Amino acid sequence: MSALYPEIISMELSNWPIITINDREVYRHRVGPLTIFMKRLLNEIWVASTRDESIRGTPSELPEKPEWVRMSLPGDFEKYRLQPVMPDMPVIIDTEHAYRFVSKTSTRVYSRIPVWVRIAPESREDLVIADIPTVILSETWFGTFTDGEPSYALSSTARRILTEDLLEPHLVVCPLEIRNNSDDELKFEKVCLRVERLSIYARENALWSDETVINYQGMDSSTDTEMKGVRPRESGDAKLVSKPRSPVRKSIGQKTFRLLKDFHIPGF
Amino acid sequence: MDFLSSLFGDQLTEERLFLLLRVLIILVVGLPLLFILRRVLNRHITRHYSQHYGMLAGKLVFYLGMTILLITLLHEFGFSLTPLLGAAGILGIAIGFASQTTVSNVISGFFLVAEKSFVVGDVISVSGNVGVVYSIDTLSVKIRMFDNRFLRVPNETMIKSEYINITRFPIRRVDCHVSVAYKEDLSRVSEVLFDVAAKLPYSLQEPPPLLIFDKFGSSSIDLLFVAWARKENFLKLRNGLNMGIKERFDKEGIEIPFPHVSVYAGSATKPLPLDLISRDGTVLSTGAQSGIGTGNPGSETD
Repeated sequence: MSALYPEIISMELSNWPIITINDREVYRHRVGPLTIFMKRLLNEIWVASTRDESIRGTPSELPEKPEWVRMSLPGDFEKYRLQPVMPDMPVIIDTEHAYRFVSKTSTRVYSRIPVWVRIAPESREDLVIADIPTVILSETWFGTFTDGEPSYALSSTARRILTEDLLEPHLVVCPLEIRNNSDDELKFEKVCLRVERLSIYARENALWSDETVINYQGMDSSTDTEMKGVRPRESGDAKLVSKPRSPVRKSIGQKTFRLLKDFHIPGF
Repeated sequence: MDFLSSLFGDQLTEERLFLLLRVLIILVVGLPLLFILRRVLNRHITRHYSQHYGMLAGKLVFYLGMTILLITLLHEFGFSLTPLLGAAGILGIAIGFASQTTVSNVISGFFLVAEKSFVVGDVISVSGNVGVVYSIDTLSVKIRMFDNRFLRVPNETMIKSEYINITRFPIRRVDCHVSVAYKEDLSRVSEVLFDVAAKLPYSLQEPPPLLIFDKFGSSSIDLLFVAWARKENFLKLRNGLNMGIKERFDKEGIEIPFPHVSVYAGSATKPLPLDLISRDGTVLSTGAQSGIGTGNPGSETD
């Protein structure tokens, strides 16, 4: 396990700092559209959040009636770590336009997924105080009417080229290699990305996830999804900042594509 | 011993005393053990599998244990099981005839459990009563209704009647019946409805929401707008959609019409006469003088 997951590097990134909260002081921090408010009262930590239209700049003001969530901790912690983590359910990436792959071709695309902010005492990272999404994604269903799994929906252009201006502090770039190993043509418009099995790497406030390789074997065979467990080559010397929520490294044969042939028929 | 001998006289032999002790030990140890075993098994299986299997396993172990305990006790008292079983067969037929309903409920219970149309914890609707399945017992299904009333449905009735398992499947559809005025632009209405659904995070994007033209109503165009949610978010979506639609329609100036009703008294050709009365009670004009309510039949006053 340790060979697969190197130790998380404790590094100071301006968007993901280790913060010191003084007693009764309200601390504010912005990550993309999300502003987090934290307050410490003896061994209690109070957390509230708000979102606005802007994704940069100073944190928002504390709302008039903030919805505080109080948590009593087993000690009096002063320092807290803000850490980017992946969403808690798979993300269905809608590619906007249907994608067609002829037999034996492959491509590499990039999708950007909004991260969640995890708050934990610096000395007790197992003590998760809150996981707050930077962007509230709509839910969707991946499967049939009788069986399937809940997921988040995300519309993406599935970019072939990633430029610097697309790197946002609250968006993790997921490189996705899709290979059509079958003799059939692969047509899809939705991909199910099992983000809970991906790590996050950071470099200069840009976030990257593990490489995911999807091997399509044909309609009759299951699709292999392989999480490489290594930082993508584009990320340079990015450091691991977050381990997967559900660490599964081996290749998984699960439903990954929403094929056009299998397109939804309303249940009426 | 002397005290016991003085109390029971010749009846209390050493052999009988040991028998009594053995029976007591079996009861004192066996019964609590059985209850503990049932509880532990129920809890363990509920945690790892489901509440339904936990309940079944608990009951199975309990009844099996009780049977073994009873047989052991009978054996201790010197009853031979062979003639007992024979007698039980004859007795069984007699009891079977006498308690057909009970037997039918017991057998129906087995079928209900085997069929697995619903399990403990499911929300079901039986003859219009909706509630959570509390337990599936030997004779009946117990349901906790949403207003916290307790409903007992005999197993035989369950087998014979139609019931709906509301939470069987993981996603559910919310139906919103929406009526708009004839003057409204339907493509704009459609746009607003889909936008309301898209803004609710628990409204599933897939299966997608759907707008169905229902009918040309007497006062409105009737539409059916459907959206999907995970079963646990069903009520949230229903409230969110209906409130969201009302709010957006008000904002966009889309009229939700209400039925216009004309009230006539007596003859169908003579409308109800109305008198105009000021706040201080002075009659300003009567229906006959003012012509109010004396229009032609078919002209409406609302």
